[in-house]
Order: sequence, then C-alpha cells, then structure tokens
Amino acid sequence: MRFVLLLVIALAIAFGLGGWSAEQALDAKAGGGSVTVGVWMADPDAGSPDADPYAKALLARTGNLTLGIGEGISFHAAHDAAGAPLSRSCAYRLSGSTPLARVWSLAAYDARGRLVSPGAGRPGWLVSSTLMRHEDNSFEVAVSPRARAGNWLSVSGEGRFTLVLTLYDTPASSTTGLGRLQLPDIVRETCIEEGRGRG
Amino acid sequence: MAKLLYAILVGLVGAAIVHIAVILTIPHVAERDAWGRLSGLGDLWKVIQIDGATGTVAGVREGPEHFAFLDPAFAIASCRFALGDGPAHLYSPEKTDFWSASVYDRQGNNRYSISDRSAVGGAFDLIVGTPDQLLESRVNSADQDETQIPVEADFSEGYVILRALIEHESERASVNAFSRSMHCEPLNG
Repeated sequence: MRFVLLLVIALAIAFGLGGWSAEQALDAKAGGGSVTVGVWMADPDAGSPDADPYAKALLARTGNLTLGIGEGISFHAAHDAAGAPLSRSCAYRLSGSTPLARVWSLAAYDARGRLVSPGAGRPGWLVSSTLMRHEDNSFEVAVSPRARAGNWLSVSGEGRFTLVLTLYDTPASSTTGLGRLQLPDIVRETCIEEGRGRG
Repeated sequence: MAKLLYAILVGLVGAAIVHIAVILTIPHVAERDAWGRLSGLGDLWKVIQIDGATGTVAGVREGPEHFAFLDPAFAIASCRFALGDGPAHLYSPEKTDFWSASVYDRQGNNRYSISDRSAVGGAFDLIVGTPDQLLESRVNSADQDETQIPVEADFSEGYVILRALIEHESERASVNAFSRSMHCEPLNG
C-alpha cells in the first residue's frame, strides 16, 4: 500500500511537473526571441531545420507561416524605449533607420497576431518604398490613434499592441549580421486617457 | 521518510524525461500547425489564396482566424504537394514586381527560399523532387523550359508559400492576379 502511494507521488510529480514546465517553457519562448536589437526581438531560426526543439514545438503550436531564411526576417516590439508596453491609446514616434533591405513593412498586431484595425480609410500598414525619408535615408513614423502628417501608421481601439517590422530580401537575415543591426527607436509621445476624449 | 524522498527524486527525474518527451513530440502530433491549417482549407495540390491584410482565404467563409502575424502588404498563395508520384511543378505564368517564395516540409521546416531577383527572368517556376525524380524529369523532357528551377527534396510531403508585395493599393488587382495564377501540379500528371 505504501509502495503504491509512493509510486503515485512519483508519477504525479513526473507528469504534472514535466507537462507544466514544458508549457511554461513554450510560453516563455513565445514572448521572446533569440536576437534582441533594442526593443526589437527576432527569431531568425524559426522554421529552419536547425531550430532548437523548443522553437519547433512552438511553431507547431502557433502554425505561423514563417519566412524562410533567405526571404527575410521579422522583428517584433511590444514595448517602447522606456520599457512600457505599447498601448493603442498612445502616440509613438519611431525614428532611425533599418538595415539594408529591398522592401520592409511595418504593421501593428494584437497579442493573438491579428492586425490591429486602423479605422476606416486609415493607413493600417506601411511599406518602405512609399515612405517619406530624410536626406540621410533615415525616417520617422508616427504610430498614433490620431491622424498625423508625414508617415503615419494608424491604430484604433484599446489595449496593447505589438509592432512588427519585416525586412524582405535582406543580408540582415543571415544570422552573422544580426548583432550589429540598426533598428528604429520607439518613443512614447502623448496618450489619450482611456475612456474619454477619443477621436 | 527516506522512501518519500526517493519517490520525489524519481518523480523529478521523470519530470525531466516527460518535459523532453513533450517538447520533442509536439511537432509530430500537432494538428494546428501550418500543414494542419492548410489541410483544413483545401486538398492536396489545391491553391489557397490568403489576403494578408484581412487574413481571409478566398472561397472560404470567415471562421476562426487561420494564421497569425500575416503581413498585410502581401498577397499569399499556398498549396500542399506530395512527391510520391513524381516531382511537383509549382509555377505562376503571370509576373509581378516583388515576390518571395519558400518551400517547407510537412513539419514546417523551411527547405528552400527564392525571390524574383534570384529566379530566371523573374518567373516563379519550381520543380520540386527527389534527386532521382529531378534527373529523370530532365532526361524525359524534350523542350526544356528555361525558367524552371529544380529544387532537390529529401522529404515526401510539403507546402509552398508564395508572397507577392502590394506596394500601392492601385496594384492590388494585378498582384492578386499573379497570386491567383499560381499552379501546383504533379509534373507528369
């Protein structure tokens, strides 16, 4: 009888802790990336045959259509430069430059990876080739629920969001070049108080 | 007491084994991976068109979202193929300014990528097959299409994702036409 009890304890620990820790490890993996540049994170190995087992398990669970290594690389940012989560009721200024790429795009998503609605007739994503730039090729983008002059990415609704900057056909997607990349800063400007004065 | 500690120790070692087993098993049993999601949207060889901006799939009624973090600036076409009866011919007769494509095996491992710039004449035209199949198809085909790019595969089932950039809204119709014109066929079928 005592042996059975001990066996049950051992099995409960093995399956309970083993399953729980696997779940936790995948959640932690989902929230981060193997490469960090400022506030931006990327997982260049996602979808590659050489990816670690955790990345493969996570990919099987999310079912994302990953970019191939030669196609490009996606950077995710969920926080501003001060470390606060990005909020749809705030305006942000992205400034700086991106690594050399034939095309890049910028869009805002919710936590489940759905595009944040920009609101009717408003720009919900930006493409590099249509961007206004400074003479030194750097640029500024306003991410804001309110209309802005210049490069403007509209967000609407409430809650947090994630910015995704995807570079296509870029030497930056080879893993050797990732450490020295330049990506735009994300600085918070003004916030609309939740629940009032929106529009 | 010593026996209890022993049981806990055995449990901890078991937990490590379970942890590793779970992580290694997920890719083989997951039903909601990319292959599983694509299977739910169409049969083998069927071209599936996904609108990056809305996440909707042409011809499929809106349901739960199919894929996360799609790039809204792109029109996406995809199909699943199998190499059991010969190589797969994946091509699009139309042209567009910027496209990028990747071939994956069933587990979602990226096996091959190409963009319009590295393709012959900017044409999307791939023959995916095992080395033997590719050799055979080259010997058998009399008029060799010059744009075809052979892709060696050591896997038996996979899928392709073709992404085409919609730079301006005015290009949407022509880019969608490129995306729609993707063909997935068994080469000798």
